[in-house]
Amino acid sequence: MVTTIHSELFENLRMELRRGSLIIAVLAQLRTEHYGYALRKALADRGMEIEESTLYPLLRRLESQGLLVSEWREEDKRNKRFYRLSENGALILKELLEEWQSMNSSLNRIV
Amino acid sequence: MDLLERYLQAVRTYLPKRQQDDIIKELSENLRAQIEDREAEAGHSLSEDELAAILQRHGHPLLVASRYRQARHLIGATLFPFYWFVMKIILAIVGFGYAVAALVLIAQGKPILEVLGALFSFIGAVLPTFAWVTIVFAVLDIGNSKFRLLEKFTKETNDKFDARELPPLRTDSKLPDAKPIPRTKTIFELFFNVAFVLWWVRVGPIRRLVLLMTLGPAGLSNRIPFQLGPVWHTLFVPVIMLSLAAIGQQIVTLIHPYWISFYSAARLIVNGCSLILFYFVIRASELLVLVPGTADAANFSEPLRIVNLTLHYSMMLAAVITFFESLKAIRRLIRGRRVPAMSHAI
Repeated sequence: MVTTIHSELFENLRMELRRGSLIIAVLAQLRTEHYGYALRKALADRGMEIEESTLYPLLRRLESQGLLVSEWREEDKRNKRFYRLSENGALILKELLEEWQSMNSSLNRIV
Repeated sequence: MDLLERYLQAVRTYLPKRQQDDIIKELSENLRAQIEDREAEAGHSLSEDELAAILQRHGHPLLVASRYRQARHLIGATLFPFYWFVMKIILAIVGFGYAVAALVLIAQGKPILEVLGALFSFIGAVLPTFAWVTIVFAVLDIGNSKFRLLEKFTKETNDKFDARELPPLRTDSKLPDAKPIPRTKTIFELFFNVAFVLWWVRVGPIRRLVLLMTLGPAGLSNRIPFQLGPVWHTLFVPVIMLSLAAIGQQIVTLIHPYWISFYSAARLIVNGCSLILFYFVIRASELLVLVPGTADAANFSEPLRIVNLTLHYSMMLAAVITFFESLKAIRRLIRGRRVPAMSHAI
């Protein structure tokens, strides 16, 4: 019982910690254009696994927030929606990276 | 690929109508790319089981679709504290109205069931009140999310906030042990005390009250030939005086919930006096007696003995509870005096 509560708590905290980091990873990866599945593979190759059911809605949300732009284009005889970082997204990513680095170095000093 | 089409169809069902085509088209392409990728790795077309495994990993259609929907709430986190604050005030006002109505009924000498009915109808009034306040705030929340009114208001309020204008610390709140007496508790006590006094004064022969308490509704029937023993008539006025004293203390506590020392001292006095009254009640040989001239008195002697015994034990239990309440009040008083001395020592 205690173990279950412990693991549930850990899982909740881990998800909270991951949520912000995932956005930074997605934005950073989309400095180069990708479509959904290719982006997921690219992130997984770099050690950042994301479930499809999390990534695809996230892409749409980031686009609706103006951080990404997308266009439908044909590739390998298939129509795919390609996403890339918008100008505004690039500015936000720069600020987020600075914030993340500052937090990281603070945490390193603390722990 | 029939399985994929069926999966997409299932996801589509749960998506918002306006986005269905767009989302399904994109999801379809992503899943197809993943399937082709897997086929290239395996060197053959995927079997139905392998395809099913991919879709299973992708997630249940309902869950997948839900991720595309924006999180919805009736009242958002920004507005919720205001909502809860208003809800508590309105429910308190409604509750007060019903409590007053019940007291009026008691003062009019209405039957207990009618009074209880009036009190319980409060529960019936709570639900619509709850619903209306919630609806109003849900509408406000929609307006707020569109026009960001609260954000502007809270920003302005925050800009104007100056910590130096906060009220000084309450004297008692410096004591770590001195928590305020909850107002809801005091309101309940006050209501029951006022109701009791009205009843005690109003119920013509007091016997009706005690008979009702001991025998239930049957006690109000004229066929029961019991009446109160002489001790109750002796204690009639002291009981009223004691209840009025308790009401006075409760009114003061309601206004000043931080006056812990006053609360404890007043409770101690009232409880002490109550114990004296209990002493006389418990010592009395018969709390109920037979009405003089009862024709078949012998038939009622055994029921009367049982009722008197029950009453005696009830009074003893009430006295024990009052005694422990008095001890609590004494402990509170002593702690209240000790804590400042300790804090000086530290």
